[in-house]
Amino acid sequence: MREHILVCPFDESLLSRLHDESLVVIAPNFEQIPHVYHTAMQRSNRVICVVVYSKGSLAAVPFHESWKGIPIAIYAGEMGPFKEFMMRLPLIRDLNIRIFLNSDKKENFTALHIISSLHINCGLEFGESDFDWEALNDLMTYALYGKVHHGVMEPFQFIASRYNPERLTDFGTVYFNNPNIYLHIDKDENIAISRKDLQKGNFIAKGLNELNDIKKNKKFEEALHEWQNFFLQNNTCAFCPSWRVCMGKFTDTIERNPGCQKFFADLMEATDHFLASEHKKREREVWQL
Amino acid sequence: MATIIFKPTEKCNSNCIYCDVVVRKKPKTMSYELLELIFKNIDEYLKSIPQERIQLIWHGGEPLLLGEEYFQKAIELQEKHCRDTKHRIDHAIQSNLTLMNEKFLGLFRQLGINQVGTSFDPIAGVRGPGAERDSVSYNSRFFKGLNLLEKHNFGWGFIYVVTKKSLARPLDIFYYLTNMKLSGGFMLNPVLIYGEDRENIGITTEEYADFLGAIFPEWWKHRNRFPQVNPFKMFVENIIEKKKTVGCEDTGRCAYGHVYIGPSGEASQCGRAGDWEIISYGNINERSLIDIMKDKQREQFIERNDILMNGECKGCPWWEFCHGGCPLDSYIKYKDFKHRTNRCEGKKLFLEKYFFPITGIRF
Repeated sequence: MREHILVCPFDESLLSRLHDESLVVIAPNFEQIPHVYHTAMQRSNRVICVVVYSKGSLAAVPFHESWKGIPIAIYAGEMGPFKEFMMRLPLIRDLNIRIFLNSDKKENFTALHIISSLHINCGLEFGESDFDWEALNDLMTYALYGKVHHGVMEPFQFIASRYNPERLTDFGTVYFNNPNIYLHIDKDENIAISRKDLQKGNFIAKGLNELNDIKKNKKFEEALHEWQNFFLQNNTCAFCPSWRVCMGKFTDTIERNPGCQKFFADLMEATDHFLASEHKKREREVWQL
Repeated sequence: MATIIFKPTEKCNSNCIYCDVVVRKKPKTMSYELLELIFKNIDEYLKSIPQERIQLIWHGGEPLLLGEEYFQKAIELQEKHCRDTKHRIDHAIQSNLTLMNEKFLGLFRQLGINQVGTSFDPIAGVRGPGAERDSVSYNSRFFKGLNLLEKHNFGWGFIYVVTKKSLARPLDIFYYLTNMKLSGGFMLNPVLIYGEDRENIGITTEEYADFLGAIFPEWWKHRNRFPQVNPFKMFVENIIEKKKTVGCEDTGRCAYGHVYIGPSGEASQCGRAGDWEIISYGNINERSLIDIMKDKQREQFIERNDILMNGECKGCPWWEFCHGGCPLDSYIKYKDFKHRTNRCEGKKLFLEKYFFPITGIRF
């Protein structure tokens, strides 16, 4: 089994060529989630999760009993009518699911707060439009400082729980965008670093054979070290105290929509708090033994 | 352990603003014959002291300019002449990394090297080749070297030299460096000028103290994020944890532990002393390493401890982790080694103005 997890579309022909792989499979629609999962599993693959990208509302998602036990990530456009969503809550809570809403819609910040408070794991997907850093800070504060039990919220949970002072913490991992872990492949076996690159045709390799030698691939190696360009260009982000958990992801909008530095500084403080409280929890467990 | 600052070449592919060796000297490279003589001497020295070890620090210039063959030759000569003592030779290397390749790394592994010391500066025009000091291409090659080190699981640490150009942006520089090497693993050293300050980069001891002081509150608050930043870590270890982890300049014990050997076999006390041609212990072509290590001139560094303890440093609470500082600092000012370092006041200033108030600790 290779080191990378492959992110691929649901394509039976492709899946039959992929054996013993760790996969994130993108399902074309909600109805096919069980079929996608079982088909991939039948090809001796390990399915990390099935992803569905939808622009519709969460309230319109046909959550189903047959999804139980399947790891699922849903990217939805908005929450939709709260009542509809609430009616499905008992089932949703039984699912191994993580719900992502896009930052392009302001109301999604509130929606994520609600979803998390309902003990459903969720996350914010960063969209194309500028957003309010204060609103993001409120969400992060709730996610990491909130005393009342709630569903985890990404990418805050990822950063806080995976933070290691010795390593960069790349929260792109939450969205399958981290070339150390994920590679994206389409049905024609074009390989890219991210889903966006795959859609744009920015391929680094083609064919499963090339995947076997991906560590020798120059473009792949460049992608691994792309973060160093911030340092070579003396980009503002290279001088930021929170680089280690952001890695310049908002560099293109920093002038237009400043606030990232303060947000990530607060996030790092929250991470320290989170780790300290996790440590205390562990200490308590030991004492109670 | 004895330390040999081993400079087989003075040639360098960079023209760093704070280094005048290439400018001042006509850079030379050590011949294979002389290299062979060095290993014979090391073997003889180690056989004469059965419990002793030698740390051989490959320095330059840029040692990678020697080429892979040179290191291959060193391995062969060590095998040939130090068959019984090679396990007591610890090689280390200081390189600017810009010429690093996998072959070098393979050879370094054979020499038992598993980490590389380097230097870096994010400020344009400080490090780089040519009169313009093209730091863009230089830094690009530096990062390629780093990537190779990390790919092959070599550790690395570096020195940042604080110059006049650094003074305006202490925190920016600190964040940049800790972003580049997350846990730290670097030392903030003041620039050392001997003779004319051609580039106008010299700083006072007070400026150095204030540079450190601008960074220290952030380091202290978040020291778990970047624990390996010196001199802060060393101050904490010495003052709070009562360890004695000081750099060579502060040990008070450099007298018999160090030797510099240059490309023509010239021997001196250390790298600085050799570069600045302050002390001469003769030449390895004419004297054995055993003799060089026992040179009578070394006694003055032992005597210096007594002179300072009963003189300028008498009653100083920080004697134990300073010992009057580097004897060469004394030489710069007084042309002898009998005085404390001229950096003493800066160190005190940093402790009094920043370290103690911020940490709340009194010594």
